[in-house]
Amino acid sequence: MANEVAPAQRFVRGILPENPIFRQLLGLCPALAVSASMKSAMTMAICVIFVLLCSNILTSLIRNMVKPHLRILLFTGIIATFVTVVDKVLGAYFWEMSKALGPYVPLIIVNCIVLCRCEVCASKQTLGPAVADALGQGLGFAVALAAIAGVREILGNGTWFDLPLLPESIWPRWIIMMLAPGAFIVLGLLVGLVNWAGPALARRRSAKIDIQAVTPQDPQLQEARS
Amino acid sequence: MRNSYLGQAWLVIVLCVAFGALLAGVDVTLGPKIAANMEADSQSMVPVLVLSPAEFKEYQPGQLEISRQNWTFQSDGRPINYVIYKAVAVSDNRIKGWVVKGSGKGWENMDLLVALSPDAARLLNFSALKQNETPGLGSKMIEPKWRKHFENLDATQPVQVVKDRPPVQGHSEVPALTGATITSQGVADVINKITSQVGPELARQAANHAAMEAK
Repeated sequence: MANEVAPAQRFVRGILPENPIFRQLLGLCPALAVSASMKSAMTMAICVIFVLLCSNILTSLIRNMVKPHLRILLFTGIIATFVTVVDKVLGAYFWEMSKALGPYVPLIIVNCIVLCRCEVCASKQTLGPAVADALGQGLGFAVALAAIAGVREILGNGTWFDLPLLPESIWPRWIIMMLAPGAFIVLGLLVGLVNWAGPALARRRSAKIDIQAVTPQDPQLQEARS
Repeated sequence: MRNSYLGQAWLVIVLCVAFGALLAGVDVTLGPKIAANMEADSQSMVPVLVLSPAEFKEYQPGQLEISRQNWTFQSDGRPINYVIYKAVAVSDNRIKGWVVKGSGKGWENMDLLVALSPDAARLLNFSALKQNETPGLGSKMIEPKWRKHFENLDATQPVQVVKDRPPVQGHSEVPALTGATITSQGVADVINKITSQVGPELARQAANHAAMEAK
């Protein structure tokens, strides 16, 4: 079944229907830790997309040579290498961001999203689907992080991407949004929202299809009736 | 061959060697840049530590010439390396202060920048480059409120941390942080190590500098 999914469909699926944070509930640790500001969140998202892409590509290329009982070892080694490269590049060229993200960039090594995509998709698919999957899931991660960080930064700091948005006079700073409890609350509410809205939209879409199916204009139905 | 360990693990070995080479290359190219970034961080703290708050408000980059030297303290045990920053005012070529990077341990390892007066006889200030003490308790060591206790202490005497009584003025005593005695003692240990080991060298260099200026 998995082999029949087209690469383009994999890409779209990763963004919202199979969103790694909201639907699969993976990678929650960085989602809570770095989402206090949009800048940190987007830097983390770019790092994760790069690591996802590289490790999916490499895993897909070596997928036929991997012994099953050594695969987790190999995947972890691959992921650790690319994360170290990203960490060094951040430290060399984006020093302030590296200090702001702190230990959470090396922690991408144990981010479940990356290991999961290697295991579930890249080790079983050719290069095309693996790349599409990596990009889709990475984009989904970025979208989820943007949602959480947007709420937390605007409500807790009055800024968005460090641009002042809500002056202190209109909205006094809701400090808890910048701290851990606020992160959990925002994450929980968004997970609830996405998981309620997703099936609700799907139900409405399928109900619309049912209604269309019973209108007399349906040639297939007419044929079946006759 | 199939059932041997090598037959099973050849891919792991090959990939690990390749990754090792890749990471070594990355470290060789980017390592110096990262070290330069960390050094820039330390150097940017020197004006903050050496100048008083009023002086720092007026500070423009370029008013202080900051030079860095590596200096080794020859003890009977292992030689200890220190990094010393000398801050010289460009306008009159007088030393504004010294900043020494030292490390020690509270609950966790800490790296401190300790600022001394131009004649190395008084403490000016200190800041933490890296510390991992208990959040909310030991981490308060970085707050100006506690650091103020170290201002103008005699650098020729060891600083003592007192816990159950207020510190006596003029006795080189500082109060312990509430609920963070070990952290406070760790900070005092680092500062005392610096004043005792590096202090005399700084005084000597300051005297040399003054002698050169007098000529």
